[in-house]
Amino acid sequence: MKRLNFFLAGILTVALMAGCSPDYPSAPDDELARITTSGTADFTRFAVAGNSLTAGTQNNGLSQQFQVNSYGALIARQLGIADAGTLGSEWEQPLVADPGTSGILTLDFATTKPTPVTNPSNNFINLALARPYDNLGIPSCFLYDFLNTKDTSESWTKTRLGTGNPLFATILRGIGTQFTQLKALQPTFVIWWEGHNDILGYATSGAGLNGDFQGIAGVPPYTPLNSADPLFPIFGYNFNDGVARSLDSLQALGADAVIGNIPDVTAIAYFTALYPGVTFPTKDSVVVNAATGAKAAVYYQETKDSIQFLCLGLGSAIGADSGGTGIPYGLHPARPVGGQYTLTFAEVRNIQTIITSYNTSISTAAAARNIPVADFYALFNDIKTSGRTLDNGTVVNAAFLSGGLFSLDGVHPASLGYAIVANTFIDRINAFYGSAIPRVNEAGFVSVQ
Amino acid sequence: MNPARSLVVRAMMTLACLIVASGALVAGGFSIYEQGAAATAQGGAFVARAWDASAGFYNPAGLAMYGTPGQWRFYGGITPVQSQAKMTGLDPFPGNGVREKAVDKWFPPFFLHGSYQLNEKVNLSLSVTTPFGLGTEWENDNNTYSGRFRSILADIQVVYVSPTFSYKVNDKFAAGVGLDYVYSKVKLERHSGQAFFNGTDTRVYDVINVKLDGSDNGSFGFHVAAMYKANEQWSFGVDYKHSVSNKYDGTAKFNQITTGISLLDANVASTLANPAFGGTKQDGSTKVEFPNSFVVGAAYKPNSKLSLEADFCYFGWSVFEEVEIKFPESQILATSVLEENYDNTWQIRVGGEYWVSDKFAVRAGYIFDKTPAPTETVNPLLPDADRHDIGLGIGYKLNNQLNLDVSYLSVNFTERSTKSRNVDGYDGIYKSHVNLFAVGIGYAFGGQ
Repeated sequence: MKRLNFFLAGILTVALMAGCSPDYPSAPDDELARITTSGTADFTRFAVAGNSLTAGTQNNGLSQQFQVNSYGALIARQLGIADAGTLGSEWEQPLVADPGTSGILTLDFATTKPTPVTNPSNNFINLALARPYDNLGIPSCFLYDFLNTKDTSESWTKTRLGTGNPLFATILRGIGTQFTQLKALQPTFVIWWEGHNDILGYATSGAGLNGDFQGIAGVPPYTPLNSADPLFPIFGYNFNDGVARSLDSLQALGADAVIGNIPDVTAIAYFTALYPGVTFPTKDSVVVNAATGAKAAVYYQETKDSIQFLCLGLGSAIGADSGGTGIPYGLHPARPVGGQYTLTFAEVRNIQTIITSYNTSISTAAAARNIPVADFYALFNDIKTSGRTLDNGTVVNAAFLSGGLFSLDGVHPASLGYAIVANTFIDRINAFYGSAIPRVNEAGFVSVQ
Repeated sequence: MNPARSLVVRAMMTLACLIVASGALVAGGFSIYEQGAAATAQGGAFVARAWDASAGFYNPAGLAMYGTPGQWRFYGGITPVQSQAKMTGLDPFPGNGVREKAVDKWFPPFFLHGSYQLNEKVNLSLSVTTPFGLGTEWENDNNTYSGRFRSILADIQVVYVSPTFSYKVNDKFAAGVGLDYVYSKVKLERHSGQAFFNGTDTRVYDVINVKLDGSDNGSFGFHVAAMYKANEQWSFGVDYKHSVSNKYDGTAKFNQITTGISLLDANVASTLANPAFGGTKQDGSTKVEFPNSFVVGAAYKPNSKLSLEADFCYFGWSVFEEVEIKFPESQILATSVLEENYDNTWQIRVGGEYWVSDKFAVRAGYIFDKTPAPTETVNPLLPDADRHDIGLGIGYKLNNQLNLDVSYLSVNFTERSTKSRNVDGYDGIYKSHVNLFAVGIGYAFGGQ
């Protein structure tokens, strides 16, 4: 029986050992993806210049929780700069303490309406930086401003449109234009992405009444394309010339560069949805009582059948009793929906013609200087048509809120959208310079937890 | 169908419905080769010997070979299985270091074999076994399990009722052939999600819980086997079991999960209420194919106390291509497909027993079990991996009629990584372990 005891002891030992639950397998080292080859480019000192899309605006404002995901910061991290875009890192941005600048939106979960935060910080936390920021994106910057504006008082919006943007003073801090500050950084690689605002405001204001910005107060004109444009004498500036001068200046830096073109503004969420909670089954009627489903007819200043898009802002304006008339806005022939909320088919064609001309101007000037252009016009149209499938199988699209790409303002991307922008630049850089910058993990910006 | 046959089938169905059991991932894919306690201790290397009534599963030819005319033999038991699995995520999704754990589960597969030796040559037997089974469920407290949009719960419950005819040609050679009546049930659960920008990040929200509950009220397969006793020392066996196609019809249930976001909730509610959706409770169906298997083995008995055996098992897992769920009543829901694309695979089983005395035996065995799952389709529904199993056990003869076997099998999964190549975009490293305990009681009477 001795042998039996020995055997039973053996069984018991194995059973006890095997009975233990398996350990979690250990994860591979979570090292930052790093660039493996630079090709013919030099990424030693990297800087970006542009407008709100470069600044990393989300939800209609700047906030450091979003600025860390500006496309410039994302690419800088892919280039191996640890924590690029965060406070105190080697790659600096004009960070704003959370929740951010005035007017920054947050989502009211109950109504799903984006609403401005009640306690904006407006607190730029590293204004004391003793050198220009590596991210020289300034919200509301026009093409003109890149070479010409040192301060709010000189900005395009102040000198041409009447209202100055204080962010020029804040971010430029009196030490030069975007260009001269870029030069002071002595960059070896530059991303330049300008020109959106030259058409955006005109489009988001419904192109005024029948395309005329003078018909309705507050509708800004677009930037004239060339010296033959009827607006040219008014502004004394044109897009073609501005692009040529800007790219000449970029070339003079002696840095490698990539630039981006302008998306079709009608591909953004702003024109694909109204505020959620306001149900517009068609442009003919609006649901005025969610509980009963009661509808009311909508009246328009522009011919109804000619209207192609309704602007996002209409959702909060419709039905409101502004002016104390007692007549709900848009629901009575006496107070029709104004031309600033609607884009007619003709206006859309006109806007698309202007954007196409701007993009031709950009690609022609870039080709003449051997600068690669990342094609955001194609990117956003493609996403609008067929969505984008991420690595993990998630499909995202341009729909407002439910699409996942656009932030609460319907114009600026959300972090996921910026990751896609970063990859579009990275793909173009790698293709042109033969470099191998790893792509940003887009799926990592979709959270399921 | 003639009345007698119909009665037999109905009896089988009733029996099967009563005792259907699910299993853990004991062997490659979701096969369970442990249908007798004495064989289990020896790593299942039994096809060339098959001397007890579990031969009904391992090699029915053994029943005729070792039966005594007029003798009834029964062998029944359970094989409690404890299954544990853990996963560490990989980039890009769910991300390096994310940890998930399967619910620790106990499954009670069972086996029941009965045989009657009609005369010198003929043996009739009936075996009720659970040669396949699956039960994986991942912990999903507060809907935070990262794989919940792929699979939360997968449960396949199977029972085979196998009547077999075996025939002893002479003292050296016997053969058997039989039918397999297969009753099985399937349960699948997962969540559907909707991406939504919530103001700070793009989140996928859980919006619908989907459950499929189906059963297959009878599919048929067959098996054939043979045994050759060359001499007192050497014997050989082969066993073939045919593949079985199972079609499960049942009910799919869609329960809305409210998110507290009015727009999202309203959208989902209106989708579910849309007549084209087909209703929150509608028909759902799926198919699962169980593979064929071919086992060949050789046994060596150097003396009356010791016997050793080595088997090679081949499983035709390439029939398992996908888990497809159809919703015939819905005009909106697309057929959901989880790719599996299994490869044919094999196992090596070696084992032996030593009779310490006339009454008492000790047994041990080892199995190398090559996974049929390709790297790309390893998923939380079936986190398959190569396995190294160790079996140990004892046998005790109480008297000439009663014997008892107790066994333990440790199923050691190797670590399995999807290497960020999973077809469904869910990557991780899986580590599993299974403890299997088997108790069998044999009872024989009649015959001389």
